[in-house]
Amino acid sequence: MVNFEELARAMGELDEDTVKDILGEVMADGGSEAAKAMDACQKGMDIVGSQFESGEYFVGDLIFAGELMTDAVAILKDALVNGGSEGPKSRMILCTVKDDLHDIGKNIVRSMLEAGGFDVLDLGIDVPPERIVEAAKENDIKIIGLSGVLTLAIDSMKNTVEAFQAAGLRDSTKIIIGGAPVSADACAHVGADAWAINPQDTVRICSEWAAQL
Amino acid sequence: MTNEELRLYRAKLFRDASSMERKPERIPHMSFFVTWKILDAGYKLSEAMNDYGIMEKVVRRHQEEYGFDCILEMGARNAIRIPMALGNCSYYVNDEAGTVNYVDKSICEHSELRELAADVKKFFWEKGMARKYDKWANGTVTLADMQKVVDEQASFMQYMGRISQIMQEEYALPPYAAPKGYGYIGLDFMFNTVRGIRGLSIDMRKDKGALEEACAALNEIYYKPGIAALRAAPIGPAVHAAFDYDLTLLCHTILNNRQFAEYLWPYMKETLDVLAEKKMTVRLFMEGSCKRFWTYFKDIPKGVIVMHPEQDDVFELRKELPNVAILGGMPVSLLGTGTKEQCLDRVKWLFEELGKEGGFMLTQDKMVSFRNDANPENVKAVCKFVREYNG
Amino acid sequence: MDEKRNDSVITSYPEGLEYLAEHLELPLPPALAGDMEARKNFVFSLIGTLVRQ
Repeated sequence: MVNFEELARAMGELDEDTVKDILGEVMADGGSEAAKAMDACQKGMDIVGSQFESGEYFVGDLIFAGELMTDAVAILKDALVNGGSEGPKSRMILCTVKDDLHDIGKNIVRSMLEAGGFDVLDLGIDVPPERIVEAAKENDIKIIGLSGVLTLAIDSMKNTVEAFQAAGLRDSTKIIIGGAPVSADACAHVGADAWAINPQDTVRICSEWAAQL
Repeated sequence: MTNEELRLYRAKLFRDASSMERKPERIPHMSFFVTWKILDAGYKLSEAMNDYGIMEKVVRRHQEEYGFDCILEMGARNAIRIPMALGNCSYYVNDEAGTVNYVDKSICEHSELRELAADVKKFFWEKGMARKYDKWANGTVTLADMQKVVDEQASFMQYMGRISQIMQEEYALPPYAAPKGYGYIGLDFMFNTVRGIRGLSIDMRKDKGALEEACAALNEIYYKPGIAALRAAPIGPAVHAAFDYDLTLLCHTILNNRQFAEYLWPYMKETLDVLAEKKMTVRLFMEGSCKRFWTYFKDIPKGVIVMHPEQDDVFELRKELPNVAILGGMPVSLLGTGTKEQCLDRVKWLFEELGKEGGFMLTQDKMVSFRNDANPENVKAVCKFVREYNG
Repeated sequence: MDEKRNDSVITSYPEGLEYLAEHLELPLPPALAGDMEARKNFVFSLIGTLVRQ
């Protein structure tokens, strides 16, 4: 009998050995309860998020949580149907903007968004505005997350927002910016809809948008 | 004033401000401009980073145009000619965008931490070098290649000696720091060079024991001898320099509070205690935010720490740590996109709130790297204001 | 000094360290130019710099 509460707790405590032992149990019969296991892992990521907000965990813990979640998905994926959750997922684009090669923060946010039920199209690093616009058009994605660490990322984020404007997509799109140089002033300068330096805030804001769109 | 008198006067401005007991004659201004000054001088990044003659012109011009009291970076940050002599470099220079990005590469796998701990020198020599340099990995490195590396390093050291002498003798600038020893904390070494951000985050959770062994081995070579040299130094600051010691840390940016207390603070405390005993000052730059650790610094005596906050608020810092001098306060975001008036209003506010009784030195909050990071006219206006301020 | 050269040992430790310390022209003060310990320290310090780049 798989203990899904224990799985959620172990994920929340970043107890890799226990997480993998339980997932092993889940897959022993071919993964008939893989979807429940995925839900438990996602609950565990919520715990991680709360621990981060309370100050117990910090960036390194989020990075490890992301790795653990990636491993969990890899173990369960063959048994998961439709991504392991009920109904279609909300889609969004995430990337590090042009001329910035940093991806750690973006990857942490991606893990949290995926745990929060998003299907994330990660365009990678150093992504020019036109590519982001093209990806949004081709995939009919209306939520865009732009990440950057360098001060010049603000310029690239502004150029990206302007590219959406020029493509006639700005009004139908929600754009959030994140990373070290972002602030309320930067958000206003860039013309984005929201800003966040905390992955939990990013998940919350994007979830609110997904519910409206 | 002769150049020597001006140089010592400027050094004294920093010393008095750092003391937290003496008010300097005026508030000193340090340059934290890095690659920006290359672009401001009209050169491409690759031109200056590959030609010490051009870099010298860049640094001279930077002082001639703006007029600081000290320049932290004089072309040492990206010494790319040395690794390029061996054919590879971790820096990616984009002249079109005017950017230098660092490719974060781990030279040690998690499973190799104990191997590293057992013999750091062997590991660096055989595996570390192979992971950084293709010629080392494929065994085609020659004596001639290594001689080129030695020669490039010698050229770099000659440049550093020359630019340092020029800035002191011709431009009357005190050296930024004059450390009598340097202890490179093992955990920061792991973060910066050995395992990187992702790797260290995994190590902290996956196998703390192996990480501890690796850090201990690195500390034997890179931390303990440096601290021993500092302990053996005579008491007293190097009054001809702006600061005695530089402690720039990055690994705390991933550590939770418990990990900081266990793995990083003991070494920081030891370093600070030695500096306090020697009556030396340290410019402490902890990348990002370090506000959650401020409480650790409460009991360090006045006159030791000069904190240079990157993201944290300088006014809050003054309130929480009245024993710590502050270097910083000028946001790059304002220098870049603000008006001249906004920049000057900010400086006036800083001087009035933080500098009235000493304990404050002005510099930029972040390394000024990219073209749009600062408007030259704003920089000129701020520099002029600082020189003329008589508050 | 031993004139025998074998660049293939460079990437091995400690053979490479000894080889480079013996054969490289190093910018050491004259008093240390013949001091093998000083030469090895210099070479390893250089490797440390290269690894940290």
